[in-house]
Amino acid sequence: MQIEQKQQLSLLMDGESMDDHFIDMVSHDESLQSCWHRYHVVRDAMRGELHASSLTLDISNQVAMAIAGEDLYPQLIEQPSQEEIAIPKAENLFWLRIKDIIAKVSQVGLAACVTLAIIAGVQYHQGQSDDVSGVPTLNTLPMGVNVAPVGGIQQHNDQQLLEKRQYDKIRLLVQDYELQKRLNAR
Amino acid sequence: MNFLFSLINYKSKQSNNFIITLFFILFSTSAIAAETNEALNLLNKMGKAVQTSDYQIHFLSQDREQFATTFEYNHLGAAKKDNINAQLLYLEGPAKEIILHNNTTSYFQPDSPSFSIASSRITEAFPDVVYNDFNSLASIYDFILLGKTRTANRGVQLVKVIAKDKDRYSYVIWIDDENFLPLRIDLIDDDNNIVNQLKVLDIDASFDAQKFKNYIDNRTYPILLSIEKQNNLLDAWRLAWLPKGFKEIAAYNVNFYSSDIATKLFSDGVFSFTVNVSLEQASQSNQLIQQGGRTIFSTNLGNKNIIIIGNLPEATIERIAQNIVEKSPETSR
Repeated sequence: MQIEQKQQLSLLMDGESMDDHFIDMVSHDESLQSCWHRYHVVRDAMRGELHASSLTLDISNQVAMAIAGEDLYPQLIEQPSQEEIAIPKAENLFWLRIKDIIAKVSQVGLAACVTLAIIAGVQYHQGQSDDVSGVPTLNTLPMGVNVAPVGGIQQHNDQQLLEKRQYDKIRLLVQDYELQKRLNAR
Repeated sequence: MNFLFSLINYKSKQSNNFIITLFFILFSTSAIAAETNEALNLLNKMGKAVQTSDYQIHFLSQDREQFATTFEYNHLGAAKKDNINAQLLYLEGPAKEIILHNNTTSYFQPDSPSFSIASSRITEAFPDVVYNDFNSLASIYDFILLGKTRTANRGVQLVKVIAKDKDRYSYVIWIDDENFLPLRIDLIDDDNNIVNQLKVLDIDASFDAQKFKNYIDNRTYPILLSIEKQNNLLDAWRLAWLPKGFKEIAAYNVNFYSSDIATKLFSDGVFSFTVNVSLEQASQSNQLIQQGGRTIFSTNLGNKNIIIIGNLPEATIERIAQNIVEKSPETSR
């Protein structure tokens, strides 16, 4: 969108421009129309006259579009059978060696990957409720003191972020515990 | 004269009673000792049988209030640890397979890449308790014979392994009369509820050890992931109290969002736990999660967050958390 067009739009809003040609342009250009809508919202906000509906109208439109575009029933990926598990072939061994060398360079990343894979193995063995539905289990267990969110939305989000981090931390440490138990088995 | 005689008679009767009582006390204590010895011998035989014999078993494992999961476990025993081969197959859900070969454990999983780690045991099969020298555990645990019964179509003896301090879960292990394999292992809490149970359904007598050996030898294994030891440890705390018999096994840092969590692993050979100290406090001051036998306890202490994870009861885990002492700068290291 041209700066001149925006300037003209601004003039039009203030009632200082009566260019019929430009008004015609606005009525045909969607981006200019949305800009027109935004300018009005901004002006109303600055004057403190903002009506709630003028904001929500736009959002609800977007939400409706997002819902329409969402895949509500994702197809389940078929479970591969045991025969299909990728087993390194002999001819690939050379590449595995190279991978091995690269792996040693990015040790930290790999360690994290291993722990993840291990807990996936452990999870099934030690009860499926472990981590599959981990977040809700952790958050819905009101052991000890559960701090209620105070005040505005922002604080509430902070609270959720903190809980998510704590949950991530616990999950990582449980994985680490299981890994260390294996590495240190006598 | 008559009086004197009756007095002597009375005295001798009393000493007779005394001797009988003494004899009874001696006999019963020696009987208890013999029983403890028998339990100890049984457990040691079991520990040996699990590692040195060849067998194929089908078993199920179940946490409290969870569904049981079924497994097949193949084992080629050896006197030397390096020569033990074993394979664990998941009979339900995704076809997972874990193979122990040459002190390396390889994980094959259909839903994620396969990998190997340096581990001398498939811990998903039998719990740590069976792999112990029970003589060295005798100062911490009591071993009690509970009697005979039958499971997996075989005669078994029941042995209870219970901590003298009563601060741990206990195990009841069902040991086969002939081959001394553990056929059922119950993890039991203070109220005698079963927390976790491993139950062998059958021992396959037609197990072809040679065929299994060929399978292990001819399989290709994924790369071994080496996990290196760290040097720059945060050594800022220690435990003022440990459950009896527990020792520090490993100390290292866990990286989390570019900050370090100081972690130590402790074990007594039967149970284990990690203590994790990080600077980032949790929003909940106390949080307790129980998953089967595993207890997770998170608490804020000073300006730190402490997370303890282990297969110990809640009370013991909380007591460990209360006994974390910060080292002053001078005394550390």
